Amino acid sequence: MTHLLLIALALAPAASAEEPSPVEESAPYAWELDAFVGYGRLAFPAMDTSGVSSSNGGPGFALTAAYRGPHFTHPFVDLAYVPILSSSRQVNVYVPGGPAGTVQANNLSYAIGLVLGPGWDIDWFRLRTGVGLYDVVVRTTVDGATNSPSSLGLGFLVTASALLWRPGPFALGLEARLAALQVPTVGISQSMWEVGVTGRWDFVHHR
Amino acid sequence: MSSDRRIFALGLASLASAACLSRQGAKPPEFPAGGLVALSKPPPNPWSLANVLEGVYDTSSRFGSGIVIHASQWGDVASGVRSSVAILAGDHFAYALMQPGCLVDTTTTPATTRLVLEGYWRYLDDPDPSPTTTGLIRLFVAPQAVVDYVCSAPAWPSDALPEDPRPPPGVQAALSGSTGAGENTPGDPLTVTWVKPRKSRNGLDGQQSFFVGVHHGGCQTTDNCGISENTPESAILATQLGGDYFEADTHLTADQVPVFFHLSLNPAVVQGVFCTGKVEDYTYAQLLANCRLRNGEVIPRVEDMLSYVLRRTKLPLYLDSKTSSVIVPVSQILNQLDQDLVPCNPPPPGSPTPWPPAGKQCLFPGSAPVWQRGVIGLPAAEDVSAYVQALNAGQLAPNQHCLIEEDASDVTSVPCVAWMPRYTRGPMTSTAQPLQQQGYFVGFWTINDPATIDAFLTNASPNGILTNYLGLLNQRFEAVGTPPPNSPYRTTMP
Repeated sequence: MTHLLLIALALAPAASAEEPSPVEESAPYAWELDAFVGYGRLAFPAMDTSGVSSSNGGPGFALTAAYRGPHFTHPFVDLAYVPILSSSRQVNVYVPGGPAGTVQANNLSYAIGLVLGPGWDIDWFRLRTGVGLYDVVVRTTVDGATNSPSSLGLGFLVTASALLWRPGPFALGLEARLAALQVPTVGISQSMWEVGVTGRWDFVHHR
Repeated sequence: MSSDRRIFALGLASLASAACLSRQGAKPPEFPAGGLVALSKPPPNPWSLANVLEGVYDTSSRFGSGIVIHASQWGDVASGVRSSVAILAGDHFAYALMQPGCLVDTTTTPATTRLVLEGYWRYLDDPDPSPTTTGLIRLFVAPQAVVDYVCSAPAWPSDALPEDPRPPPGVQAALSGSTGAGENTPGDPLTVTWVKPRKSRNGLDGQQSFFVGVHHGGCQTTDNCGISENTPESAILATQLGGDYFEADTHLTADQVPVFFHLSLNPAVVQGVFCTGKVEDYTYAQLLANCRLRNGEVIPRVEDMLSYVLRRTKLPLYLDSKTSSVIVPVSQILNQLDQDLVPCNPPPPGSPTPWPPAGKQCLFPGSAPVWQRGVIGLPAAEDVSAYVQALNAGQLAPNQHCLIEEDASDVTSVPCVAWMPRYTRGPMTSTAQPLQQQGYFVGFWTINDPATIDAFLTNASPNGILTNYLGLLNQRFEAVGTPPPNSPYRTTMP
């Protein structure tokens, strides 16, 4: 029994060396910079489509900095422009005593998010979740008048990436992102999806 | 590693479940096809019910003892004044709101008339309605003498005084029926037994000196009663639930339109993908195009909502200025409404026929004129300064009334008619009582806790308390309240 234990202990480091962890296979001890470019739009809630002549999402962008250490989890900070929705519609803005009829409403909404959180690499697959602040901006033009209100709130981010091409300190792949805005007493008030390409650059790495 | 994965999976699950939350307010349960009330006729005189039902009662289930039954009147003289009956309870901050109907029962020989009350009940101590916190209620009124008094009353002429002048029958009403869970047919027996008449709320001069204050409406939007706060509909609900004055919040849109709204355009109270930020950031057309309140209503203009509420209820309105710039526009609206809305019950002596004349509309029967009912609230020192500046510049309506929230000395120096500080400052009786003795209104905002309500009712002797729970405050006043000796006569004088 003791012999078996000694043999097992002796083989353990060798086994570990033969089966390196996925983290070690990618870029351990590295500072990295990521970029995302894609398309996205509102996922929830469903938009009121009455009178809508056109609606669309828009281009989304993100810059992320992360540190990959020996631990399975890596921290990151993400700065993103998140498209929500743009639409044109005819709306009834009748008020008592005023003229009846509809006017044109052109609206655009997007969010600027700053998110912190942990990420995980499993070989070529990467998952990140985070929490941070989102400034939601609405640009609304109704009956010729334009205003751009905004509001700051809490939000969550989930990203899933497939880093399919990894030459040297770089990597390139596909990424899907889901951002969700949180409101106290309401829960998730709005969520947006994005899909696009992502690139990674290990600008500092220690092997 | 496995721990990280578990946390991640939990995070995803919570995001997914939160994303399924409904953003539309829940509606109260309703009887299929309108229930028995749909087969009935409304009482011919909307004031008859108050003569025979108002009182303190005990219930056999659901609402506890010492509850209040309140019969209210609401609606436009031109289209018909209606009555409602409410149960107002302390337990679970409960209320039941019922509509009356005189039902001819042809299953008996000879046919008999029954007085049925149908509606829904609600526990407000849980903001999310479920079958355990809301349901249907159906009650029948007895004895027959009470039913006949209500259902055989002469029809109320629309130019008459707001009353049923007949003496009530010399018997007390009793109610029996059942309540149910959610939309289910009522099946839990309920009897409501008379205990005593309601307390007087009058001071030594015989005028009303204690008032139940309505905080934004009969129900907060976040309490999910099916009606959003700061709306005309919430003022009707407030009347039905025993409110005596209505506090509503005024803002100015980017194109200078005064509107009623509380704070920010938050998804807890509004819906719309393009509705975020503040009311002041949008023109009114943009608000109409992009924002709906949680229960589907538009954000109301002050002009429209005041006209609606002044004609359909007798509530005075305390118009809390959320920005100093809204003071003058709101006062100008009150001035215009004071000219447009006239008393009709009865018409003024010597008034021409027909009355009201073209371009005018009737105030709610028995209500005070507009200049007495529209009080501009001044919550901060800069609002007081702006008000005084406008007053001195002659920009306010003649006899404009105002209310001070902070410094009591401003009440007499401006002058205003009322002082209503935050309750957390304490009863402050040494400051409050001299003001009350001079005829000023002294109230407190906003008290929702039963123990604190009791403490203020017994120790502070206020003219009013602002609350989210109208049923609770009405019930607690019957239990422990005493009206202050001095009625706030300055609120009814220039």
